[in-house]
Amino acid sequence: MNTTVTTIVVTEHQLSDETTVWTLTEVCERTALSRESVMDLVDLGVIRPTAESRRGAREWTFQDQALARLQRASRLRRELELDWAGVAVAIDLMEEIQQLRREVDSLRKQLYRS
Amino acid sequence: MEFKDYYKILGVSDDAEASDIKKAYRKLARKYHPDVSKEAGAEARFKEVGEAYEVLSDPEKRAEYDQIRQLGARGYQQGAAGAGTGAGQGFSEEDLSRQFTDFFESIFGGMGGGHRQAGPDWQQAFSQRGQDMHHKIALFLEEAASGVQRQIRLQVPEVDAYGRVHRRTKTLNVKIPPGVVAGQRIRLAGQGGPGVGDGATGDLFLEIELAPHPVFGVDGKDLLLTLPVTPWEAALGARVKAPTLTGQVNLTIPKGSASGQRLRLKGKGLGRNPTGDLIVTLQVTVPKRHSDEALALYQKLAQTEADFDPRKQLEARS
Repeated sequence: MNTTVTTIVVTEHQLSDETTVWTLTEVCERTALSRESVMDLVDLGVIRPTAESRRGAREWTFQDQALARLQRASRLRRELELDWAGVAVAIDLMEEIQQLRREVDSLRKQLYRS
Repeated sequence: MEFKDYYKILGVSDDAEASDIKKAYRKLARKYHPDVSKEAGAEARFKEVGEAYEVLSDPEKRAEYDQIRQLGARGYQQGAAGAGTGAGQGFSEEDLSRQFTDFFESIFGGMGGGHRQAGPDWQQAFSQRGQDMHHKIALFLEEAASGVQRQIRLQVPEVDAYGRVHRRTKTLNVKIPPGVVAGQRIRLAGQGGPGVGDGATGDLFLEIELAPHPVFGVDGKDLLLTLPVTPWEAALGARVKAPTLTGQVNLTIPKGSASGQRLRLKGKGLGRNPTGDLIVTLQVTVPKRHSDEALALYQKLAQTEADFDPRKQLEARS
């Protein structure tokens, strides 16, 4: 059993949303999705390439949030055998539910303070 | 090691057709998918179902499993009891259905899930990036606001000289700076699964969760606080003490405040660039019992303010 403990110091810079940007090639590699699938998901509005890359002629780039969504999309497609349109609907609904839950929680907190 | 009855897990008979197995899997996967189900233990059930389907949907694996099931089920129960499942924390979250138990791996070896992987088969490729891994860390609000050091343990796959995959426990000390918010992802480059050949090591993504706080609610970067005030504080205005994550502050209640009124304390929330606010919602609270003297004062107040009808609007509309 290896017992070495590595210490990692996360910098505040790493917390910024803009710090991590992925190219189309990188997101494909990390999600095992084809370029076509990623483009389908862009068409369906599940993810958006960064504004700069949409304007420029360079390869599309994505913020880290898009990678997280793609990982979830890929997982839902595989594990629930959905098509991309189904995945898009599922993700939209899940996020809406999450948002509503948060609101319910905070409203409850304000209403029934013990 | 506990013997796993994959047929029982999927709720099918052992002579079930492939189509029935698929149907049963789909139904259970939908039911227990961790993104969908909030049931306790859903994640464990989902993994189990995924593993059962992995075996029973593959004719070769199914045949092999059937043999073991007939002959050796007993041996498994007597074997290393309490060895536990391999479904430890720290595995890549999106690959739940490909996290197999020790039972599975004892039959089919470490790379059991290979054929379901959408990428190139690792054996054929000269190099492949290591797997990205995901780990959730739950923090108290105070820790999120002021930074914290956490020790996390991960199970990382490791390939030996024979190409077999083993799991190794890796311990990391992670210093998290102040300013994280719920759902935040922190990428630790090169701390994921090992690459194959020249492939780079995968990354570790930490996902921050915030534990519920007894006093403060959270809305993104903003903190929410319901602050009880007395009717006279609301009516006359007052200077009261209010809690924040970093200690008490003096807060001015404006004269003529109402229940539900919100006051915003800039920069007393979470996160960075800019830091969120603390949103205080006033709640006018009355004592359970009043003294006779206080009741007399209320009587007097009622007479003095006889013209005030807070329900006027309701009557006009009904």
